[in-house]
Amino acid sequence: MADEEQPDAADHGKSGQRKPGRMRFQDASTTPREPTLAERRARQRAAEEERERLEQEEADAAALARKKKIRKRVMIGGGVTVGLVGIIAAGYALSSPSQEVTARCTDDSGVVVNDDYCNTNSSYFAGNGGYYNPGGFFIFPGGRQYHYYYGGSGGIGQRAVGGTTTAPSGNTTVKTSSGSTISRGGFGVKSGSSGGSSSGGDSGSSSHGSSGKSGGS
Amino acid sequence: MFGSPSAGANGAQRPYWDESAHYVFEMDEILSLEADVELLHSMCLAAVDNVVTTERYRDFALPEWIWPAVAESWKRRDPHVYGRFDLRYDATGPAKLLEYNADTPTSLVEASIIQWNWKTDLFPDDDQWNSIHEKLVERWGAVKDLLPSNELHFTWSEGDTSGEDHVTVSYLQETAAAAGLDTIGLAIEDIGWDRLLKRFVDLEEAPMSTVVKLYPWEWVAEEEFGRFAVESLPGTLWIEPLWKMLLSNKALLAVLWEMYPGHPNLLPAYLNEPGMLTEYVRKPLLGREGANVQIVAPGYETQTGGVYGREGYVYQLFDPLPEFGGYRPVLGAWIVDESAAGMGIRESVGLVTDDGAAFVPHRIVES
Repeated sequence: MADEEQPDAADHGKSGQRKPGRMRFQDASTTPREPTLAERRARQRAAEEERERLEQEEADAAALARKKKIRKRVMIGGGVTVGLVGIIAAGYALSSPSQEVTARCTDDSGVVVNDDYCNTNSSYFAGNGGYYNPGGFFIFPGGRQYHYYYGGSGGIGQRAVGGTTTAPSGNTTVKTSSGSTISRGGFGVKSGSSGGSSSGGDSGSSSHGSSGKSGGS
Repeated sequence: MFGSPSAGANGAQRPYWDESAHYVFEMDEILSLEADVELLHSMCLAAVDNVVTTERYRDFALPEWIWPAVAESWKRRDPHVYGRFDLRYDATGPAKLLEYNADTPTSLVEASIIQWNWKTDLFPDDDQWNSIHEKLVERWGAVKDLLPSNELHFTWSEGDTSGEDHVTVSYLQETAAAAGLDTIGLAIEDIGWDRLLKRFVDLEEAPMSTVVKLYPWEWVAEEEFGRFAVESLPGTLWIEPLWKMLLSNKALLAVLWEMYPGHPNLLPAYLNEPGMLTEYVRKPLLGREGANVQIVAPGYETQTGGVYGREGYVYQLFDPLPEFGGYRPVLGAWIVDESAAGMGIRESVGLVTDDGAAFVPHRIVES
């Protein structure tokens, strides 16, 4: 048996010379980490792509407007110069892309609604029998359903435009108006949960603890 | 059960770790047991393949929504690490399979570390069927290449106040770290689901690519995040994998007997009814720690209490555990990856090995 210099109760001294991996633990005092360089870069790139896409849309809109203008001139014999480009541009300028992608809660026709409808932690959600489908749909009795819309623009009551219904992949983080989108306590038998973001349905949803014994057998 | 006194003869208390007695085996016996265990494991994998192919999930009382995911998990061969066979063995005939704890096996630390230290201290010249530690480290090294990232999250349930789960998980974490994996331990209750990005996150809100759990799949499946765990596969992988739901379920015993009738390492077993058995043990499909077990045999009528059985029962031929000095042992044979890795023996007073069983060490003498 090798390795006499490092007596270790958990190592029979037979497991060779391998560089050990890390062992870390997380508990209630753990705080979210700083975003990694890759995440910052991914987010920045996502924002840049968003901006480029909006600029492209702006250019497309301008081209379309020019065509329309030309067509109108043809129809009414010319002389009309509406600053349509400027209006569209102003509309985009009001909601110019920030460095972070924002997610908006929308209904099934794409109109932005209060974030409570998509927030499983909200009292509205819990109080109205909301159900979250892991495909990303927030469903209420009666069949109303909502989902997140990522990026783009639109205030409550308006149609969300310029974004996508596909969740960003990779390490991108996205903001919503209601803050954290992470629920905890969906596994196991603990009734409370750390952090201020316990899910609406966590307490009492599991009841295996009658023997105080968990998984082992 | 770990950390609490066990039940002794005459109602006395007995320490859970009891080295006042131990078992002695000859090398030939161990070699033969090793071969039996590896054979049983390969038969079990064939049984999983059979169940997936013939879609017999209903016999296992699996909820219907989970069926496709179980099949996919098997077809992908989501990596697995270890399991424990419970065997009846009396040294006069072949070992018989009582059940397979393939999903959440415990008593690992006792088998891997504590009895090894006992042997090293008291019988340094003898051997022990025990390469559990080495094989776990080796297996994590192999699993590392099958995982999306080098980072694993090890989770235990805070609902287990005995600490057994936490200790077992921390030991597993240690073996993975020894294999060069980066590991993070946290309570399964602290796992977060990011509804916006549709992924599991740890307390640092970093995504979790692989989660090691000691929490039964049938519990995961019926909890709030259960659907997320199943439907986010293989984005977040779980160890042990979902397909082990078909092994940690006692319907397996009946399927094995159908596939290999008369096999020397199997006892006759049937689903839902005793079939032609007149003396039998009725076990709940998903029971744990010997709960809700009923023995029907002249002179042996016994029934244990518990909270299981809702999902149905399997009926296995009654073959009483042998008795040595007032105690009845069950051999727990460990399998890591595809190879037999070691053994831990638990003794109980009664015929059903429950959470009152005590762990007893063993050694091997040259024959």
